[in-house]
Amino acid sequence: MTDLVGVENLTVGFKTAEGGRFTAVNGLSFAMGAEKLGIVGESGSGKTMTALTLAGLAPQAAEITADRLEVAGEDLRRFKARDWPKFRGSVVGLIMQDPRSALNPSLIVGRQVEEALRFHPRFGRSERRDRVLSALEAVGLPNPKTLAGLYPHQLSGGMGQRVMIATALVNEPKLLIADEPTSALDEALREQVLELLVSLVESRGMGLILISHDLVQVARHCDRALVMYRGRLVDQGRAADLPNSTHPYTATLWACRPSAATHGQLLPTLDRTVIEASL
Amino acid sequence: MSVVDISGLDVSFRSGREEVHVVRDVSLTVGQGETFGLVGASGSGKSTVLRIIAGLNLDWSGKVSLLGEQIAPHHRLQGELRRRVQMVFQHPYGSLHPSHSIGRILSEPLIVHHRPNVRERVTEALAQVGFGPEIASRKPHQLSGGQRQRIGIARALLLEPDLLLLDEPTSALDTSVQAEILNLLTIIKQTRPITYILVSHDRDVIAHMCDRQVEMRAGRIVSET
Repeated sequence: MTDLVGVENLTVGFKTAEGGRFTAVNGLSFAMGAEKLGIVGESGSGKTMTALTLAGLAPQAAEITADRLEVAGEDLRRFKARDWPKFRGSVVGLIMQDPRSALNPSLIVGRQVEEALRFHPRFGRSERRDRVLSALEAVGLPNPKTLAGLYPHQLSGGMGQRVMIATALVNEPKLLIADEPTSALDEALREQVLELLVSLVESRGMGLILISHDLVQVARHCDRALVMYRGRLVDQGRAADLPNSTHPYTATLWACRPSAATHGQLLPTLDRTVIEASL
Repeated sequence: MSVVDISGLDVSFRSGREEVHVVRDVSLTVGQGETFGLVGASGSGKSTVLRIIAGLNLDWSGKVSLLGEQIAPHHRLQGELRRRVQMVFQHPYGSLHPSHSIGRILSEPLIVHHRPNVRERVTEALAQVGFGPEIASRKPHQLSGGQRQRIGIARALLLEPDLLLLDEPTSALDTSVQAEILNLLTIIKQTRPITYILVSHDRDVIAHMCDRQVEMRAGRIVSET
């Protein structure tokens, strides 16, 4: 069986200033095909560091070890610095949380989307331009021609996030990693942007890793889910089954969301000693 | 008696040649002991209304009275209102002095208001939000986001306010930590007579916490439930 992503016993650690060691990801193993995989957990659970490691973007100081670390048949453990730029964009596309900080403020949108193509000189200038415009159109942006000439500050948050999706997809990668792609957006826009993302991934037969602290979002849009706590994988299963998980951590994360139904009541909270004991 | 009574509140400012109208003809009343919600998207004007009640935004027109006292635009809160109205901010890190210890941060409002027994009161306030006295020697950067927000709440409660203004108090936190903070706010309300005004973009948080709410859009109140 060929996996799109194969990870075995991945550990990402850092030396701390006090001479100790901080382990951000601790013995993580998982494999996925062209499916939609959600990774959920609290902040500090290691989900973002996992994503950055798969894209070769973990901080320089990170000490990364793994028994297996493969994406689309490539062994990432053997990668040299010069191998990554080719790999990013064409094999892995990345969407970060905040379009305002991920887009270059001094570059017009068209150039920014095109940049991913210029790194991979398969196309001539006019073909690049066509691809940029069709990518902008595919993410539902009106008047791609006008829009390509705008700077990021002239876009709303939702438009900025669509430009990021276009940038990530323009080179037709096999795997898309989206790290909290909708957290910086207003509620009303979240579903729209996510539905767009999922439909683009499905129509192109790509794999998606959706990193989110929002369990409802993952349950609704993903096939499978991994649940992380303090760098470890503590629970996994079908995403749609997240509400029924019996693991105390997953169950509390699901149940601790406030709503009109919980008005006037205390919300369930994590009993961290129970979770620590079960690790 | 109502704790907050606002009528015909208007806020606008000039941006270049344009006049930007951020709050338009807002009227609302909040009763004693209520938890009142202001919900809306970013830019709807909800935080501006809250900052006017806190005396942080001074440029407005209309009628505003707090705890029975009429306040005037272009003037900061005066006298007892400075004690009786307190606020908890969205980003606890930005609102706690980064190089002061937790003990010093919490002592300051007591010293400013000439309260006796500063040390005992700080210890009590810390206990109320679930900390032991040893945390007083720590700096904000040594705490997690949820812990910092608990310090922000402790600081706001130290002067025993009658009205607590909560500006997106859990938006920067994990859902699991959000639950702890919302529970803390619920428990505090059970132990003393206090009125909350909660601003959030999150309808679920508002629905969970509030007895009554208004929704704002483009500076106006568009619905009331």
